[in-house]
Amino acid sequence: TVEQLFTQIRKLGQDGLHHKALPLVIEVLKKNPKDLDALKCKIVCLLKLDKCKEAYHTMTTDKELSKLPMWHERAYCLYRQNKLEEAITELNNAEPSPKVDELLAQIYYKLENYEEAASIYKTLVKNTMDSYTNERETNLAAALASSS
Amino acid sequence: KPTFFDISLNHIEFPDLGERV
Ligand SMILES: [K+]
Repeated sequence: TVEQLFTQIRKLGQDGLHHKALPLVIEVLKKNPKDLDALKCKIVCLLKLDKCKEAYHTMTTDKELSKLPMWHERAYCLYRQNKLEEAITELNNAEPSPKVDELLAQIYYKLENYEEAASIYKTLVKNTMDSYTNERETNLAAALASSS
Repeated sequence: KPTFFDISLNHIEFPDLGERV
């Protein structure tokens, strides 16, 4: 059943096994091509599997998905494809959030605007408590080292 | 080149499937 498939999909996602989750997501979509949860899961799987071009294509051409405000996912695809100015434009539509700032910092770093990246990371490091504090400190250090 | 992590990829996650399972 779809419920059983979603149970497995959720578990595989928690374990980071997106290559195993994707076929199950596609099975759900065969039963119901308009299932929004499955469509969103498909995008996540594609992004985790480094298929940013396909993810972006799906997000912008699928009738249901293109209606959704998936700013962060769309901007992330553009960032990975090195379309950095477009990625910033996409994020300007998003509600401000630490997630948006984190991607902005990465974009500015890639643009070699290290001052701006460092400035965003300083604020994030001060205000964010999650599993990525060490990685964020490393990114801040990288931005500071490159800006000096 | 200094180490730099793609933290944003970690922020991309499945929607809450709690109602679907
Ligand atoms: K980030």
